[in-house]
Amino acid sequence: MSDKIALPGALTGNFFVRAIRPAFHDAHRVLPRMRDRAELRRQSLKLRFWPEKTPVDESEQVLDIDWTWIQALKGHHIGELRIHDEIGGKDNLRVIFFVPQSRQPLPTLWVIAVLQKKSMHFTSANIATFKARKQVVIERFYGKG
Amino acid sequence: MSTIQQDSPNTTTTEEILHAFLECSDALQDGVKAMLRIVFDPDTTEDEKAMAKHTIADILFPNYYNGNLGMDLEEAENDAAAANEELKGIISEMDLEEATFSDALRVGMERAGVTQRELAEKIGVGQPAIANMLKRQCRPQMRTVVRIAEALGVCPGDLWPPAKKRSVD
Repeated sequence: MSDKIALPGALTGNFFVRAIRPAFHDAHRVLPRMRDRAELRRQSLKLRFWPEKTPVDESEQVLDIDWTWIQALKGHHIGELRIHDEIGGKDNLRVIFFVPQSRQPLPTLWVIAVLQKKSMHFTSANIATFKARKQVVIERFYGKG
Repeated sequence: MSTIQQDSPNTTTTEEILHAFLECSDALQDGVKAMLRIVFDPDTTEDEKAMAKHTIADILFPNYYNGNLGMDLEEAENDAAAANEELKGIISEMDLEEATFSDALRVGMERAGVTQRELAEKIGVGQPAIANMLKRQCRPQMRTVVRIAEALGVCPGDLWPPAKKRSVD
């Protein structure tokens, strides 16, 4: 964990939204065009308005985007933003996010993966990947093992 | 000395990889092992393998930006646009689309005589969604534009002229 946290700027909404490097790689792979990634980024930034009290409901909306907790990761506080629009000709785009229990040092939501969902459920490989990436955030940003 | 190819033209030695692995906590080492199983599983897809490989790289060789893990998405947009003319143009265009939409939405709501709350209820979103669209802090999905247009009795193109282009691209 860093000793100093660099403030990213003024907070719009309730949370800062950070993405880890592998999520950027995912986005590049799924959406090779810069414009499409910019569109996805704007949609993902709606997570800034995530409610301050973590919702108890299984699924809801953040502004005009549907989200749901990932059932196979119950208790992990990992959810999926369901992008309804096609972006770059891709439908069923999902932005996987992690909601830490701690609001310190900054109220932050984490984008940990981006993918095009091709089946009803996430695969076991997807789930293992989300868990590993969440662990990176927990250890490297929050300093918890 | 054996090496593996990273994203950069530099190569990383096996010794460096092993050292990085041993420096990790037990939980992260378990993560690497789980990702390796995905990479070498003949039944996983190329997408799954790619995600696993990037996860391994991030665990072993962490990426810090301005001293912190990951990157703030707003900051990422601003920094990238400052360094890339093409992206700068794209961002300006998107800002203009959102500003145009915001103005058209305000006019449409006034003409229809609906409040933010009423409109939100009609289209099945919360009132903050409408408020943030008016403040240009919520880029609507096309589904939302269409629903708003129906609720206000206008064409989607009156609210978001490039609607067609965006959905077809």
